[in-house]
Amino acid sequence: MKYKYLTLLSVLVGLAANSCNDSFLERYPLDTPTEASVFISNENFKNYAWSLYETLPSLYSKDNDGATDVHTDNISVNWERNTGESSWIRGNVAVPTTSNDQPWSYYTLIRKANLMLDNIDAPQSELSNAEKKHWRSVGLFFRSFRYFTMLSAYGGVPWIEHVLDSSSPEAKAPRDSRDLVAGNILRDLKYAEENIGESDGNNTISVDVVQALLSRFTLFEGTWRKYHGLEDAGKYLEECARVSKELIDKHPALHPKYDDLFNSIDLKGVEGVLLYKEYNFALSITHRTGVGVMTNSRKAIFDVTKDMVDCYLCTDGQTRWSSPLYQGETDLYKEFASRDRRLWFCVAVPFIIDKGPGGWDIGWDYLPDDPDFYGIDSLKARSYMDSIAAFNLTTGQKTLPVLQGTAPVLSVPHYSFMRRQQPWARTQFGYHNWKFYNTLYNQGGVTRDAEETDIPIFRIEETMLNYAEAMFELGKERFNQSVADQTINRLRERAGVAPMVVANITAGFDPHRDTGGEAGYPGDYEVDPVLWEICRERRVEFLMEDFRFEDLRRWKKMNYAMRLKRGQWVDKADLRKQDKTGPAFWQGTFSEAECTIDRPGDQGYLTFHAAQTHTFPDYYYLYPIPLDQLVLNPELEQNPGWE
Amino acid sequence: MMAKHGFQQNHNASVSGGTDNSRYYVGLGYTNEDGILITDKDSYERMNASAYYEIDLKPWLTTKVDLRYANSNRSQVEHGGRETVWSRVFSLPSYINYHKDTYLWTDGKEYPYESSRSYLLNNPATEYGNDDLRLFASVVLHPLKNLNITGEYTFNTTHNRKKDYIRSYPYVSSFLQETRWSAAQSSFASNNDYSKYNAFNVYADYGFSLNQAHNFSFMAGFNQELYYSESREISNTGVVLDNLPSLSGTSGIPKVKDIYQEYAIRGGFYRIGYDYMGKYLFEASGRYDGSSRFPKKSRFGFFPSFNVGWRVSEEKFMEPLKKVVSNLKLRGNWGEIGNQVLLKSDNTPDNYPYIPGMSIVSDYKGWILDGQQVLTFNSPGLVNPSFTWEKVQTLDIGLDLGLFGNRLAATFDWYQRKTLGMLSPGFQLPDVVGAAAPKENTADLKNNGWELKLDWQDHVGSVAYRVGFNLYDSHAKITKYDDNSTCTLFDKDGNAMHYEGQEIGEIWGYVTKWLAQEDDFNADGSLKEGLYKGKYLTQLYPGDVLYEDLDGDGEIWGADNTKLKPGDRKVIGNSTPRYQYGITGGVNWKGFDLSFILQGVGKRDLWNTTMLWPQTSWGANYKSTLDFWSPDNTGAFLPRAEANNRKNTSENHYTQTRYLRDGSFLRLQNITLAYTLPRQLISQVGLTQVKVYVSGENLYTWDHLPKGLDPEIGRWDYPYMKKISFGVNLSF
Repeated sequence: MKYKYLTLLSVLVGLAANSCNDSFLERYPLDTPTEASVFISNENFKNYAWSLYETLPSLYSKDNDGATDVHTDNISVNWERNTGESSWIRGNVAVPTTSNDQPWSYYTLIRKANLMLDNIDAPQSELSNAEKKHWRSVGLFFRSFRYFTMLSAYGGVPWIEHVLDSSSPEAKAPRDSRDLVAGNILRDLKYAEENIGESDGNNTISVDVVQALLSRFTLFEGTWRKYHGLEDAGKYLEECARVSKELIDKHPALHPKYDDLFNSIDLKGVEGVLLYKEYNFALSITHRTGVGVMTNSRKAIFDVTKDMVDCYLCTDGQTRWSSPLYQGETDLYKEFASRDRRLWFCVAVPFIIDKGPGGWDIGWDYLPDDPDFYGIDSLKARSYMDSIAAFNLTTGQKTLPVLQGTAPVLSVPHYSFMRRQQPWARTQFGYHNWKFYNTLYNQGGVTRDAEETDIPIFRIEETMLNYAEAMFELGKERFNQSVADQTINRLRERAGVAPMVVANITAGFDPHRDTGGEAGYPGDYEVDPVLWEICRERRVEFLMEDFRFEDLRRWKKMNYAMRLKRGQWVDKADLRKQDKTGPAFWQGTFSEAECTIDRPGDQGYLTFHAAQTHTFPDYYYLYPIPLDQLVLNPELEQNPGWE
Repeated sequence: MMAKHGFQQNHNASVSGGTDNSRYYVGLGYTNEDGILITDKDSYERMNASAYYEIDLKPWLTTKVDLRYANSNRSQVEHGGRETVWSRVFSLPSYINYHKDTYLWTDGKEYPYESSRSYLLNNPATEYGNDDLRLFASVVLHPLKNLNITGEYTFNTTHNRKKDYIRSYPYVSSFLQETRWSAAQSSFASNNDYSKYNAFNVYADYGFSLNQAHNFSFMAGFNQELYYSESREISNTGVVLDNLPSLSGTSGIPKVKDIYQEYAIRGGFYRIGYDYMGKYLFEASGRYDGSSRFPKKSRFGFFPSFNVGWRVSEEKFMEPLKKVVSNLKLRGNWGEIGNQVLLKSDNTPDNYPYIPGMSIVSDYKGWILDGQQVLTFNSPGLVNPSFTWEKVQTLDIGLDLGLFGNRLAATFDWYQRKTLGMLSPGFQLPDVVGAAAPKENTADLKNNGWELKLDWQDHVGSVAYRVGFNLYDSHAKITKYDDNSTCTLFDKDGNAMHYEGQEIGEIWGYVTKWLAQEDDFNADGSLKEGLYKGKYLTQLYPGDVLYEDLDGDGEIWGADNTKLKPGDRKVIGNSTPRYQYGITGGVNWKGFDLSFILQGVGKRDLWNTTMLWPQTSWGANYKSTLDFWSPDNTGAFLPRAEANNRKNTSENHYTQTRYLRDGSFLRLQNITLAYTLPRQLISQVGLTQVKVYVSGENLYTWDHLPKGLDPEIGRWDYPYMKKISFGVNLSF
């Protein structure tokens, strides 16, 4: 009898077990779409495409060591002696073990772009033909943008055009050739140029932006091939000349105020800015560059070098070596007089303030004219600000003295070795880097560590200089006065420098021009005088905008970065006197040991890192591929020299 | 920032009773705790109620209803300024000799001075609230003599709330040089979440005996659970009314995020038991479960277990020893259970791990359009279409021993637990795929351990006493881990990575030789023969740490950072607490009862640098950090310190044998003195028991760490508190 119940029980249990696998256990996400439902309408593609925009470069900020100018002759990171210098310059770049923070990690963006591209023609997509072409162009733009980054870093890389999964054979394929990668990028960007539709709103990828990238890429690839001994430079340079000219013709005028480009809350509608990264305080999308670079005291002291400052022309269009307007380099007031105004916007102009008995007063106007006292007449500083004011559309962006909240920097230059009891806003070289400094981040007298000035990503000035350089590289006669007038002279007009007259640029125009043959660099070539001036314009226009490192690499001129980096000319006897006879609040802070110069005695140029004793190796022009990638895919070959 | 003490109260009242065929219980409780920080912003309060009623409606039908509810509220100050309350304490208390709450600034106004105390005074507390309601109902049928059929239903709903107001106010920095904002902008956030859980069980059990010697029992049943949750986070910036923060009173652009989730489980279970004369015991049980978290074809898993036991003390041959050995049982158990909880990177459960979702990115910061945020999607990850339950297999052998009429009771267990098929990333994929490897059942862990427990209770005259001792130990090792085939030890952030063969808790480090002295150097500054410096170091100085060159290559470095080529590193210790023990005891005499609990860890290595190194910039120094090397103090414990210039400091601070700390400790966890009033006294008032007590918790800890650091917390955070409490229990 009991067994009957037992069997009944087991039958019941069995039934229950069998009904297990029904829809009760099928549960799908209640708030997350899948690939099948995300790529249907035009609006869907537009929403997905925003996730690609994230890869566009954001502004250097104090916490992001991404200012690549530190690897060049423009900037010296003056925080830790010798060990703080760029690894590319020190020669101790380690082969990375993983691809974290390396250009190789951009394959995730490539995958994102390929996902969109693969779904454009999928059965569930409801796009019209025109829409398909537009989204394909947008996807190809981003994919090309990052393949360009990887091409520049590594040379040839595996070319992946579709979404892969864990079993795809392409995951273990060898590297494709540089020719294939460059050729494909060119093909994709040209497709995008032809087929991109109307833009999706203000400040989105449009035909102008595609052309700007095409101009940047073709100049890079063309000159790389020319100077690194590869073929086909001409094909890329011709393409550069064509597309740059078209773009310049669409945007012939520049925004009249240079400083506005880097210190405006909103770059909407600003002429010449083709694409910019928008920051917004209310949405908590901010950066820290102004505070970080100019006034902070921690990791970043990004001093501008003497070599960079010497590069700025005088207002008469001549170099500081030959111009009669040049007043000398013994103090900043003299050195900065009658120079290219971009110098004043990039390197902090000199001033000094008085600290009253009560605290940090900004009573800086009227210091006594004491002949023993270093001779700085602060009224001179005033004249600089008046001149700068003439170039500023909106007043109050760059003011003197430099402020953090209501606390002012005591003087410019404010040396690290003579801190005057103010530990922040220091320079080792005398040349403070203040291109991105503005007072917009001071709110009610209190520093707000969250700035919302916008930053340009593509601006027409770059295309103009690309055009000038490409035309010259295609043949000296192609870079004529007319080209100079459409490009370089527009920039100069804004900077208050006399225009370039091509015919006047002879071999002796700049006595410090690179005439090649530097010891230790076999094959080091001489730079033509006109090309030298074109490159000067590029260097001066784009300080701290992450161009110089790529430029030195493609020209094969990293030897410039290996030279001793120096700062201002100083006389230690003068500094000692200042330290004793200045106002009470800054006495006794001069440190002889920290004030290093490049020669024995009391007078010389300030130095920080010791001179490099080795040359830049050839194989350093390409980045090493991360070790774990080589292990995961034995078909990949490391770049030569890095094994 | 700390008050002298905080006050806590805890009250409970309950009523229970019954009749011949019914039983009931009603209980209420209340707790209120004011924390030890100044102000009343850190506090906790809870009210809970529970009740059940069980009635035998018929001789063969019993029903029960059980209800529990708890409501709690907690608040604490979570924000500060540049740092939080706890990290600020450690930062710079001694840099400037200024200890007031406000500072008069150049503009004539008083601003708060940057300190932990002012964070507590000026920042509002974050408030949390929680409601939890559980209903339980069951029906038990008893149709036949040995058969019961039970049906149970559980319903549980929870509700969590959070209100977080971050004030933005200017303060004077601790250097007295500038004013800063405590937050870039003020903001207010309100979060709510709701969950509902349904479970349904039905099972039958049947037992019978043959010949009064063979006893059988059978049980089989079915179980089903469904869980649903939704949560909402809304925040906005620009709070307008400082004393009445709310979302309506904000001026910015609100950010909203909501999540909806559910999961379901279904399964069957059984148990079959047999024993002979209560001496030989066998049991077999198992479950067959399916979860909605796995793909259809690998949804179910079967998990059996087996138990055997032998009550040796009941054997005939043990009869003469009965006086001594009152109980001896040997037991063995092997069982397997399944785990289907897969955690996401934010440590919340992933309810849909096999579906490659493209979640909406809320609050996308990568691009904005004309001051407006845009909506976009995350790209889908790779998924493995066949992953399934993790299996945990445990083998346990133990014995229970009772001696001298159970005055001495001992139990001992030895176990080995294997976790198989843990869901973790599979073999790493080349980066060109552009996505991380999908999670698969690829990792295995093995855990060995044992436990021993001894208790003795006896009396001497009218004094009863009891003593107990327990000791347990375990250690775990990873037996399979596909993702890290190169056995890389540390990732780019310096975090330890898992690899096959890893002992959980192992500490990799360098072996310290000694601190370099003047005579370890040659005249030109180079090191003498047999002494080596770090590979990437320019120069070593007296007072720096000298390490052993274990791989003999003449340089100190981490080589490939893998298990096979760790350079000069080796396993120098293990942070797993070993040989953990507890000692309890008590004495009882004429209504007085004194008891204590001691708890401790016998062996543990800790790599903990809190209050170890002297701070060389932006930090405060403590007594324990002052014994550093200098030409006057060459026998120091710590290496040389350099003011505001890192030089070789990071090289001296590698994980190494010299500074490995001993994390063993012994804590007096509880000591209680209680007095129960004599029966005759209280029965006149109608009370059945009155007990008063005073107890102290965490009164003292013996450890090897610097004063102020608790061996279980190990860092600056809300400490364990010494608690002294008084109480009264009354029964009617």
